[in-house]
Amino acid sequence: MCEKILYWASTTLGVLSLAVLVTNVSVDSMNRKLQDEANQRQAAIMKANNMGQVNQGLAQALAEAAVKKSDGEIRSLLKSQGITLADAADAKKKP
Amino acid sequence: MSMGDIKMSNKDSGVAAGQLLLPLTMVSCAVLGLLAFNTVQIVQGHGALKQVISQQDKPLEEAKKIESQLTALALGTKKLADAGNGNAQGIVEAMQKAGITINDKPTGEAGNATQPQSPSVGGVESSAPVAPPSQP
Repeated sequence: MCEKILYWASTTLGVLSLAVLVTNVSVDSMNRKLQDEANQRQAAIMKANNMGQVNQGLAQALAEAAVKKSDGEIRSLLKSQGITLADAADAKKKP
Repeated sequence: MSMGDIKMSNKDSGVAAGQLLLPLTMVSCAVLGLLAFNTVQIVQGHGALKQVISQQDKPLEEAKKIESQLTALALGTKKLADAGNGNAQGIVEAMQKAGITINDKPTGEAGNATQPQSPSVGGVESSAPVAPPSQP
């Protein structure tokens, strides 16, 4: 009787172990894919940080050209990107 | 070797098949416990990774906005420079001096994502460390 119980206990434990092993491997595989995705996204964010500096410098240079040299084309280019500039006359009036 | 010999050897060693069941059960129990513990840890890691990815959503959106704005500004400036706008030409020259060249065709996003010394977004490529262009 005791042997029968032990037999079924070891069989059940073996089956459960196999099931847990399959789950383990599949979740681990998913984790690797998620890790790759997270790394790619992080690299894109870091790249954009560098690009942000260029973007800021370019926008500043364009804004200076638009305001100081009254360049309407550059002003409209900036406006198309949501960057609106106050007129030079208005800027002088404001303290 | 006959069956009688095998039975004899089992009897000699004093171990019956039934007696192996208890240690086998204990080993199975230990293996299951180990695997279960490992699986719990991996599932927790899965949750943490998902959280990291969801936290990256907003910065990534901002990054895409910056990239698209830079691409539009750079290509617009290049277009104006090509059309003869002196101010735009000055800015393009200043960018070239800083090692930043503007291509007419936007480059791939993933292609230069892992090159910090040669960053590239849309139509902008840099062969030098990134520095804001100065107004000529």
